[in-house]
Amino acid sequence: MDYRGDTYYIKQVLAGKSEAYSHIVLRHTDNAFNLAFRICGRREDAEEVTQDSFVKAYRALGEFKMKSSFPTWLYRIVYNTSVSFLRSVKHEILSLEDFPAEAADFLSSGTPEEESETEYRKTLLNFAMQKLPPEDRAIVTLFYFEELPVEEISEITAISKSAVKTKLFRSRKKMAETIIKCESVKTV
Amino acid sequence: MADIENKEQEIFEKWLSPSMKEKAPVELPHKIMATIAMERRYSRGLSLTKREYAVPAGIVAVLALLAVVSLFAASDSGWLLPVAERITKLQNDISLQSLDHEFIKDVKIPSTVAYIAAAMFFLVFFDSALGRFFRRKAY
Repeated sequence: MDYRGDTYYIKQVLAGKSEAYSHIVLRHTDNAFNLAFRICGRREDAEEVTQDSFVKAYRALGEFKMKSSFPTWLYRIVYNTSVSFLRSVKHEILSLEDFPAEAADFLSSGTPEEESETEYRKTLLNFAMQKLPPEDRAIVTLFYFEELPVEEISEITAISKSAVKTKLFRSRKKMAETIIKCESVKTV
Repeated sequence: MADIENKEQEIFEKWLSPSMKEKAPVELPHKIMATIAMERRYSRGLSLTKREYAVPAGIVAVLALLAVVSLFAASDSGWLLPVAERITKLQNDISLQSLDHEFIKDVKIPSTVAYIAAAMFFLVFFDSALGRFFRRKAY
C-alpha cells in the first residue's frame, strides 16, 4: 500500500524522476476514467480521453501550483478534454430506441442474478446520463460517484455554485424520467 | 409525479453511488505510462536537435574569431602586433618551396595552399571533435 501523497510524487517527477508519475497514474486512473466514461458514454472514447488527460497533466505538471488538490486539477483536465472530445466527434442524440435491446430483454427474462441486475442498472444509468448535456453529466458524476462538494465541482467545471446545485436538481429529475420511460418501454 | 419522485429516490440510493463507478481497463495505466515514455523520448529528441545546432554554431564562432584575429594580425598597429610579427616570422621560417612539376608546365602552386589545406584539415578535425562531444552530452 502506498501512503505517500501526490505532492511527494509530483516533486519527484519535477526533479527528473519521471517514473514516479506511474504512482500518480495508478492512483487516479479509475476516477479519471469514470469521469471520462460518464461524459463520453463509451469505454473506448473514455480510454482515449483518460490517456490524453494524463499526458496533458504530465506536460503541464510544472504549472500545477498545488493551490488545489491534484485530483481536482486532474478532474479539470479530464473534464475539458472530454468536452473537447465530444465537440470534435459527431454527437449523436439518443432516443429511447437506442436503449440496448439486450438490457431490455434482460429485465423481462424473469429472476435476474444480482450481478446481471447491476450490469443492467449500469447500462440504464449510462443511457439516462447520456440524455443530459456533457456539463451536467460531469456534475452528476463528480457529486454522486466521486462525492465531491459543490465548491470543488464549481472549481472543476468553472460553473457557479448555485448553477451546479440547479443542474444537479434538474439532472436528477431528468434521469428519473428517462429511466421510468425505458422501463415502461421494456415492459410493453 | 409520485412515480418520478420514487424513482428519483431510488436513483439516489441504489444507482448513483461510488459502488456503481466504471472501472478502468487493467492495462490502461501501462498504456498511459508507455505514452509518457514515448513523450519523454520525443522531447529528448527535440533537445538533441537543439544541441546539434550548437555544433555548426560553435564552428561559425571559431571561424569568426579566427577571421577577426587575422584582421588584427594583418594590421600594423593594435594589441595583436606581436602576434602579427610572430606569424610573419613563422611564415618566413616555414616558407614552403613552390611545387614545380615537370608534367604540369607553367603551373605553380602558391605556398599558401599548404596553409589552406592545413586549416581545412584542422576544421574537419575540430568539427568531428565538437560533434562527438555534443552527441555524447545529449545522450
